[in-house]
Amino acid sequence: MSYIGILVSFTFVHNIVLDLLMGEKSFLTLASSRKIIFVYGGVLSCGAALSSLTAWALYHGILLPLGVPYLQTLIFILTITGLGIIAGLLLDHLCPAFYAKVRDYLPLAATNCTVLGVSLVSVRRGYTVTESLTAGLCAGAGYFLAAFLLLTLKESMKNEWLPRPFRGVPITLISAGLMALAFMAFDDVLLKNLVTG
Amino acid sequence: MMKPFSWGVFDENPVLVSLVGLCPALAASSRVIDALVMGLALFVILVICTVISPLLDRHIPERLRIFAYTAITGAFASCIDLFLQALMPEVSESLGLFVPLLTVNALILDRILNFARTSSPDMAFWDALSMGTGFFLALAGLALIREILGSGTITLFPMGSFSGVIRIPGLFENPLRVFGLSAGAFFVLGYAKAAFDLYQGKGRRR
Repeated sequence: MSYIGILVSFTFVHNIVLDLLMGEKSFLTLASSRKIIFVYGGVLSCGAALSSLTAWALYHGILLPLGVPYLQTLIFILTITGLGIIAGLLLDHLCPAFYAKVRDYLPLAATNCTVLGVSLVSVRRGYTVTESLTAGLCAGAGYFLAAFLLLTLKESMKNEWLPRPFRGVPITLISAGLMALAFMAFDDVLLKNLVTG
Repeated sequence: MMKPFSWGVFDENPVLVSLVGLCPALAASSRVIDALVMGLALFVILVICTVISPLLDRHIPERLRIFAYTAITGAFASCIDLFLQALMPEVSESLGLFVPLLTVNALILDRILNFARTSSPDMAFWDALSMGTGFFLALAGLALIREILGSGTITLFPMGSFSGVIRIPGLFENPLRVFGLSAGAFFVLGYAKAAFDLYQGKGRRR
């Protein structure tokens, strides 16, 4: 699959939170200010890209030659949390001011479904090494896009009257559902036209 | 001392009140059979992991805590995934990635890290039992609503001459397809949460 295909697929057609339904908890509740979304989206994209890259290397370099592909989930999650810990230590050492900004989000990103999900998806679809990297970055971008749009929706609804039981999370869920419907406009036919045309 | 059962099922229902572990709740609720299997898988992993964690906590340094506990949940999630692939290939196919993704399920990690590891194994066991039941019931309810509206059927386990699919007359011919899609998952959960809040609010006169 071409890189544009992967980009469109992971960012729009099969958006990681709206279509594949991964990483919902942080998508619905954490996204409360633009700054948080920028930082968390960035951490998540880098984490997803890095982990799908290492997942590719581990799967093709160790798991397949040893004939134990069924260990993928366990090995990948250990790599992801390990990478999270190492990234935290490195950042703390090299650039403490930046680390102070992202320290709360590193463990959250490491245990986010998105990161493990993208690694598993790209291994199971048999992506090459650069395709895995692209898939990770694009999944993070898709997360960022959806969270940013949802926050904008929430902000514009702030002054509207709502029935009491719907205030807070329920209306957020329903807006996310409407957004998922809107994202269905990007479907596989569009993707095929882009890739082959 | 908390009440053992109503806690996780009503007051602190993981899906409808505290909104943890939403990925499987949204993704595995398009068919009833998927929801039942997913609920059971999460229940098993939750109970085993939370009972183990208080015994291990003394030996785990703080920096490696997430690393160690995700290793445990990952091991059990892989076991359950292989188990399902062998016994129920069709359900396993339909659940796809979401069984391995139970490794990083927010509900399991939240119960281990924020409750079970500092309490005793029997408290952790009762907590896991009630949380797991609450999750199971919420997931089954969501799936029932979504499948009836979305495809007009109720898919259960096939037994003997019974194919496992109950068809609802009227809805089967003209289903509201949107409820079977991921958008429908958000809608149903949104309305269910609003209804649950209303019910809880009335009961407590907040």
